[in-house]
Amino acid sequence: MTVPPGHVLVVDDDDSIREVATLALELVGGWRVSSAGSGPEALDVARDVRPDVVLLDVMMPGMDGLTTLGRLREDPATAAIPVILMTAKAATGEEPEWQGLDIAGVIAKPFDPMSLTTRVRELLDARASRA
Amino acid sequence: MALIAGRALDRNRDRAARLEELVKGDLDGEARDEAVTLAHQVAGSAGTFGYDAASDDARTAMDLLADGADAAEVAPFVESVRSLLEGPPA
Repeated sequence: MTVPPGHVLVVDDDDSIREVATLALELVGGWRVSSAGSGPEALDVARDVRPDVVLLDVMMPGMDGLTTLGRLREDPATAAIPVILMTAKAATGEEPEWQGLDIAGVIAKPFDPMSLTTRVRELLDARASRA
Repeated sequence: MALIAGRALDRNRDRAARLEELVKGDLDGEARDEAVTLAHQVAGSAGTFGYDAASDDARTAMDLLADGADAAEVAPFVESVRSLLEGPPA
């Protein structure tokens, strides 16, 4: 099963990462993209636009990615939205520290912008097949 | 894309310069936290824009800083990051 293009929320405090991810997902993947530069902003945007998936940076100032993930899960409006973590702390995304989290997967930073759409689809397909 | 990459490079150079300043100082609690964050940001961003070697060295610096390494141990990697970011993507 292949997940069709939909609406992605990209959350990262680094403007250039948000911009390049947005460009890649829109142009390569045909996704609609919203973005947020912080955890609190991500919660507001997610509640407003109800994206099909959230790409969430782990290390952000203030509310970090894991706290943001927890808040998304606590809110009935956003609890079921798949979340993919993005982090420079992961080499493969298979590290034990990511196991047990309610996420669709992990994308290691740095990432290849041209492959980002494919990686997101792979993780969503894998999640769908597990469900 | 080139415009975004150019802005990212400028930002990563600024981060590397600040990181170098921090590594020349005491690296007490707050400074070390800031240094870890900066190294993390460069590690995550530089490689996305083609600076893979700088990203690798920033990741090494981040790991060393997070493990409590002293400045002398971290400094060569920070200097390398700065130098690599002044050159072409590699």
